[in-house]
Amino acid sequence: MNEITIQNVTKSYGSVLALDDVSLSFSENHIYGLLGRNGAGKSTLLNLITGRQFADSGNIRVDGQYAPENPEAQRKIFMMSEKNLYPTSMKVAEAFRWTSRFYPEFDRDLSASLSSRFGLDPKKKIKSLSTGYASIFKLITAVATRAPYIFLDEPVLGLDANHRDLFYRSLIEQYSENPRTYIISTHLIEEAANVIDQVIIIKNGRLLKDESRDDLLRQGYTISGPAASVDAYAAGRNILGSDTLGGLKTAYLLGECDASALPSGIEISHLDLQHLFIQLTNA
Amino acid sequence: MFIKPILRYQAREYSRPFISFFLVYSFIIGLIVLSQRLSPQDSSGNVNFVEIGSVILVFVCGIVSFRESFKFLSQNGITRKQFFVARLCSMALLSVVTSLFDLGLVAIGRIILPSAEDISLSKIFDTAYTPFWNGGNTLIRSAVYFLLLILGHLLFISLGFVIGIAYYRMNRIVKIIVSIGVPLLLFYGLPILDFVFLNGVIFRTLGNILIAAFGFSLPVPNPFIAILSLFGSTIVFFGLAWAMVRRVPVKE
Repeated sequence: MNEITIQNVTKSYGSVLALDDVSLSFSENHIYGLLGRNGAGKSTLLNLITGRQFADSGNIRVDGQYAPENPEAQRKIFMMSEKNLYPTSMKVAEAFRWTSRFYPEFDRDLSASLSSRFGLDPKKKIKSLSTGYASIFKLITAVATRAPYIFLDEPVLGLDANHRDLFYRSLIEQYSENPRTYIISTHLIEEAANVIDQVIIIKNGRLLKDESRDDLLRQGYTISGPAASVDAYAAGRNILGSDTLGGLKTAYLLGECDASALPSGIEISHLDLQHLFIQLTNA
Repeated sequence: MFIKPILRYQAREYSRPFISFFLVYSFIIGLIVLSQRLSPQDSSGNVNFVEIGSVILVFVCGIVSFRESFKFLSQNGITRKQFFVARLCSMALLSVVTSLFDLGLVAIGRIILPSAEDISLSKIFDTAYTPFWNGGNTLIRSAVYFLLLILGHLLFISLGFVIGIAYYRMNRIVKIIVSIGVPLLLFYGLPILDFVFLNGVIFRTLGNILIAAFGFSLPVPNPFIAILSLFGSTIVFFGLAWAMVRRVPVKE
């Protein structure tokens, strides 16, 4: 089966447990949002899959093949890292050329057209690029590889609003034309929410949620009104958090929303992904 | 094993320093030789051990062979094993090319300076093992000399490689301690300890080991012992390098 499977993976750095017995899978042709607070273990997870680091225990497979140090498995993955791993003297065009030798499916025309759309000068040295353009360069490289699994770790770091918009549109375009698995690890959840169809949330190194965006969003809702009424309704339900202002209270709940049982004076609304994430990871 | 593009990338990494070295070193050696040749006062000077230049080059190449290359290739899904195998090949290639350069330099020097008595461009190994080859086959002698050159270069490049990987693995504090501590220990601590307290035993022993390893302890120095020693030491260094590389994390 075409998927990346992670089974019981644990990784620690000294006394810090970065990933704790994590099991999940990334199926083909989905756009995943890998979400978590700073230090939750997102980058560690991606680094373990790409073999940049080794797990203390557990098993990682790509399309059924054991992934670490397996050339065949690794050639199916391209990871755009937040940090720059390119040589200091290398130019953008050179990087495209070399990447095309390691990823034979690399689309040179696509890299050229995206460079032109984003205004990236291929003659520039990578180290001379601004943070935003360095991200653009890495994004274009990642998308153009046409690898079956593309990991984007903080893809829009330093990008202005226009470039972020262009990136999301380009991503959707590419995904429509050539479906593959994208795994986007980001803190800009609000923007990414429109692109992703699967959500994975990691909290303190443990898997908190792994489901489709729509299913997850259906479960999160807010009720607000007089504190006593809100408390009465929320009693016995899965409360993620609450805010109180004077006599008014807002409670964030997770689970099936039964609007017909709402007492009068209480308003109900669904949580967006960012607010749901905040409540889930604050809880 | 998908080695070709990796080897190509790594060979390209070496091409720039080699071309710079080729131009600068040829110019310097040429200048020295010609100045001695043209000088009416002194035409009996020597330009000995021209191989030293390429040995320094390969040693430095060995040191810088890891960090950038490993990171870039990891970015492109290359495994440690692929990286290492390609690195062995690219280092062997560099050793052959620099050895050919040394041979060429000596050959050109001899064309420019037909009289070896006036000014000689001597070769480290050739000079040392002249008695062994007395009356021997010139072709075999040249082949052995070439092999010695290649292995000599491989030894230094592998030593540099080990140092480069060791530095990559160290954290900043250890790097500082090693950078200051090792030279201090080697150039001050050890000699003082040896000569003041041990009556020179350490350096005498090291000297004896080197003499034996290069076959100089025999009545007629034997180059084949040197070949074995160089080959063995290179294998040890590459083995050490692999032990350090096989689980090394990609540092971001």
